[in-house]
Amino acid sequence: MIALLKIELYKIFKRPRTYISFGIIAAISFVIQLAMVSDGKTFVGFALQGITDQFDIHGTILNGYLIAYIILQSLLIHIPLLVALVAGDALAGEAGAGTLRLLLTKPISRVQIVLTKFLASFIYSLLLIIWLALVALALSLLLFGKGDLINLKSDTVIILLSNDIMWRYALAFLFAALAMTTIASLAIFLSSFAQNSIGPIISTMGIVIVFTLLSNLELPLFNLIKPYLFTTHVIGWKGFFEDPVPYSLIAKSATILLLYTVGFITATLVYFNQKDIKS
Amino acid sequence: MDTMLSAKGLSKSFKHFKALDDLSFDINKGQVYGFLGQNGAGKSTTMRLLLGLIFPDAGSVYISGQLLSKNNRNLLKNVGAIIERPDLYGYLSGRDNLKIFALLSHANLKSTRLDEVFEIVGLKGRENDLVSSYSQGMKQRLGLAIAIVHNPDILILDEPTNGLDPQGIADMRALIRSLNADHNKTILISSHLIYEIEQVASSMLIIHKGKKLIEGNVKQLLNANDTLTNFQIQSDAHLLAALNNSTWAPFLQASTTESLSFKMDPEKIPSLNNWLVANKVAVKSINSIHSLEQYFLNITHDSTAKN
Repeated sequence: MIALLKIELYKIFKRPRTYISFGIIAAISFVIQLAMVSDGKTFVGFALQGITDQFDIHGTILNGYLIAYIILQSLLIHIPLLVALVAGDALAGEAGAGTLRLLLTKPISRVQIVLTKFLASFIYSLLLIIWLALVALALSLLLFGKGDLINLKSDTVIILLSNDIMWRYALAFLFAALAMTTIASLAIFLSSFAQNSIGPIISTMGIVIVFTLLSNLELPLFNLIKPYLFTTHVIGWKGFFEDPVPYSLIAKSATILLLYTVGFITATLVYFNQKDIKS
Repeated sequence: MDTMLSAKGLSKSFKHFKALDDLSFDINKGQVYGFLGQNGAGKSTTMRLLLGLIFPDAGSVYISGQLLSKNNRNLLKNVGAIIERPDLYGYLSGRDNLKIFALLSHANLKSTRLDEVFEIVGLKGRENDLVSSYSQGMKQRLGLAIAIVHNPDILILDEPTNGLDPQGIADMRALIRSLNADHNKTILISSHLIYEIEQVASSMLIIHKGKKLIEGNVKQLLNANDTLTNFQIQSDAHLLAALNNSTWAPFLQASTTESLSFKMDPEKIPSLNNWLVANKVAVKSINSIHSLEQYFLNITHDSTAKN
């Protein structure tokens, strides 16, 4: 299984398209950081407009923690799409290229193939999140330094002290990795039906976009289904930037994401195990 | 004799199309078994069933006497295969492709095995190039390298000469013969060309519309005495009388003043031609075809005409 995983990772990281995602994350982070270097003070002034009338705010508001938080807010919607690029290709790409039938003539079980593809996609998602942590957090801290983080919500202002933030980022990135694994398992599930990777990649993106819209629309009908949509829980990482941290809500979101992941992988195993390989 | 590969009553349908209907055959150790059929006859479906790529509606596959569906992983360790065209990872080198599939075969290979296999299939010197830069023939050779790298006893080769140039075809044939004769491999090879099968196989089976038509020893099935030779001539009725009284009469199948058909060993054609010339017959053309080949062509022609 480990040898199989090594081979899978070798194949993934030998393909130029794998690095597109890392490039996109770096590009978006750099653009936001550049914009903040040149015009960050105006942005912060605008964002705090409502509260500076009532409060006297001192200190380095425009700091690395805030920039990283802004980058995460903008990127964690897009990263699922980048995860789909690789995970959606996992089985369908091999089927489309004709290599799946060659793989299956070797003494490897179909269960092993699916699990290896899933593990490889998990590692890829994890690396994307680590890369995001490096370019969004580490680089922002390097460029803007440390400071207290002001988290503006619709009805509250949360101020997190500088020495109370790093652990929150660590847990938020860990949670994001779990959320991306759920997306990867959805993409692999869709990938098991297809003969080329375009279909599952676009379908995964479509499902994520539609479900995200449903999760964010404040309509009574959608409020009923929201708690069951995985997209509602994908943004559970934000809980770590509240005070106090709503651990029970975060744990509930993590459990739902985990259940979705197990569900998608089990469904993939059941379907793929009896699928005729005709490509 | 040990049966290495066995199909028992295999049937398979895709939606409403019956691709295979109650197909059975046994392949013994050391045999090169030809699987002949026109495109769409059910050859690839059979080969996919033999490898567990698709699942039969009825029937079973046995490898070395064991049921494939019960012990898929262990049994496939002893099988190498090319199914249709060998599609490979184009963004990796030939060496990387071979290494990956060798590792997946769980074989304890010597470090020199990859080089040895590149040498055998004639890809030495190109093994480090990206597969995307390979010609179809080179991919076919690499496909064969992948099939044999783990030294399996059974090879399942689906139209292995597809896409090869004449020299490549000759090399592939020589390689298949050598794998059988020198390394005692049991080989199942499919083709839609009777000539291809005749060149390498010891036994063969003709499949048509998913059903077995005929099976047997290639030499017996393609007995030289079953060759039909047609002479286009210009003659008169006296010749026909002379022919019926000659030593050639037992071989005569059909005769007119413009055409004569004989069923005989093609070795006899020069003597018969001399006899015709001596009897003042103008021979315009001579055309030989084996009766089994004619039979196979008729099947193909009928199907094509119906389509």
